[in-house]
Amino acid sequence: MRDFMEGALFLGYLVIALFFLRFWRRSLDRLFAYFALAFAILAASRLALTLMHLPDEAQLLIRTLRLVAFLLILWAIIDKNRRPGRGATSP
Amino acid sequence: MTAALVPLLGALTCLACAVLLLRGYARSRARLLLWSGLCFAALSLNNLLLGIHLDTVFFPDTPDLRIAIDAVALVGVALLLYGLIWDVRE
Amino acid sequence: MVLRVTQDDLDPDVRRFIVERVDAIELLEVALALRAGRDRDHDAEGLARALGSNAASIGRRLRALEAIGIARPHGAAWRYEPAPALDDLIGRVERAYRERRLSVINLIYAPKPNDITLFSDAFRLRDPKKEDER
Repeated sequence: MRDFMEGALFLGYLVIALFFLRFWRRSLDRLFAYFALAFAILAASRLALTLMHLPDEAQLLIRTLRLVAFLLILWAIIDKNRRPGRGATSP
Repeated sequence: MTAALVPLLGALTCLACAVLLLRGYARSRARLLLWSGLCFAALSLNNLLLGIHLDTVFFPDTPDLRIAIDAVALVGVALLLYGLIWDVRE
Repeated sequence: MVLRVTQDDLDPDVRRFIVERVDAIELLEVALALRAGRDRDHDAEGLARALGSNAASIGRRLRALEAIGIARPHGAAWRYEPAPALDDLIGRVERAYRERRLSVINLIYAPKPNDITLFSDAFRLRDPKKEDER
């Protein structure tokens, strides 16, 4: 059951990331790029558990990946509110 | 205790997103914002529960509820996917 | 970048109607022309001559107005037949167009918010409306 849910979440996050990628291409709004990357990393974190054999290393990697993903989302919000250009065309 | 820090950060981040998106929904009635707001709310809850589960200092001996915790995330993801597929006006 | 125009000088119902329903001045002018001659029948050719457009374009606008619930066809003729509340709103739109013509035109042609824009805007912590006045 857990494997099923891990797999479902992996795919779910990945598809969400793809949608955000599409929104980024449509709008050129950096926020969507950050969100797409964050969700892709969350997907990767679900994959990591399956791929890695040593549980401790896996836990550390997963934790790091998730941390990066959340920091990306926070950065996206900060970036959106930083200056008058408001995260328009991406660099 | 440190094991719980990342999920707790995640819970706060997702909660912030949920609040902002649901506020946006209240203003604009755009349904995509409703679904994504609910998704982030679910992910926030998922992270909160995960943090509690991982925390062995304040909450030792929690039963293995990881399936239920993952289910919360899955519900959120399903809601957002529904919204992205059916409810985006471009 | 995108000019996100806010017209705070317009009545909010009028604003919402223009943002949601009016995609061109021509649509508005046809509606107002129908309203001005509300006791008469109109046809696309006549309106085209009066407003300076072509009948095909006017015909499209008339059908759009029918979808909104402002105009009704009777055979080949069109009449101004909205529900009373809508008539009141159109009256206010007319007054806004008369008194603040450029505001209305700006609003008609400002980019309409779509869900992608709204999602992104939701993450602006301060009120987006106030931002645009800088």
